[in-house]
Amino acid sequence: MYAKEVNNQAPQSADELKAKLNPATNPYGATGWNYWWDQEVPNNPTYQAWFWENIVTSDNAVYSMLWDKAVPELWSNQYYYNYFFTTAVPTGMAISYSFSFSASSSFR
Amino acid sequence: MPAAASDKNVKIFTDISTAQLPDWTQHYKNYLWNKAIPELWANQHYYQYFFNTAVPEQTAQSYYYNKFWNNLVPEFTANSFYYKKLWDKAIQENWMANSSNPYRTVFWETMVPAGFGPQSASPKDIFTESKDKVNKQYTWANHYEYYLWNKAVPEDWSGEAGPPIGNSYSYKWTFWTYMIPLGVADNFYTDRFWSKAVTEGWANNYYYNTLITAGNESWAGGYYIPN
Repeated sequence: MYAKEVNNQAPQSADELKAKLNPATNPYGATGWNYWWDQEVPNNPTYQAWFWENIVTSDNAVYSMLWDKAVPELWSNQYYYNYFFTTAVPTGMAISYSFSFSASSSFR
Repeated sequence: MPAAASDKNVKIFTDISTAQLPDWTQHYKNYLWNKAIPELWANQHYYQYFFNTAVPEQTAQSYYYNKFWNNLVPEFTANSFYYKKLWDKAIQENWMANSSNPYRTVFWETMVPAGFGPQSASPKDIFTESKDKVNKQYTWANHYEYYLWNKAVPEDWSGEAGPPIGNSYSYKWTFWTYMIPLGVADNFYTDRFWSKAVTEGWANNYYYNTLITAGNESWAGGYYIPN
């Protein structure tokens, strides 16, 4: 089993919430990753801030779930889709130094 | 509940992230513009939403509309992905013709006449044949205006050789048979054509030279036949 397997306590930090959201550390179930994606993050401003500002940019599993599933599949009554397109992108959220894609100057 | 210190850290981090940082340091913008849309992530979800809804319907208080027309295209973002999609596809194929802002209509009737899109290319290859470059130099401040007058029309961007057939939206055909004769955009093209493009020798005299022979060309629609 994973060393950081989650317990049933409310997360006290972004790292603890990350463990709740990752299927590897919180398997599907009544309080599994699906519950935290469907119920807790969309309805808790503190979790939302951790999620969008810290967790997505630092966890490959959550990052993939958001971009590949939660946004395009309109999870949680379109919460992720709406927040992504109306807030996260327009307001320039979350510093990310992992990758940089410089604009190309190649013309026709 | 989260500790107060954690809340404070999140707040500070948020403030920093929105303070005049370039797009590539901002996670969601960076990945959306450079990866998710051009690489057609999630079965084209981001690509389809952006081109079919976000831009033409001006969602998020026109954020995507302005971003597309004012930055992504003229700044050649993502290896010119947006630039090529607009010039090679969206305008010529008349994308989203029934939407609030069809690409073709917005381009011809708003972007070029209104001067959208900061010019990021150096228009150094124009006016080389001008007889009076100093006095007649035109300021190409607009990406769309520059590329239309100096590239797309003179070079007949469309990939089609010969006269257009049927419902063609090639730049050359649209310009000579529609924009000039009909005085579209409050005569923006008509006025500029006669007062500047022809007389000042724009695009190495393309407009002047083409006008001379346009009366005999079927694509010119008969408008240019001398009286």
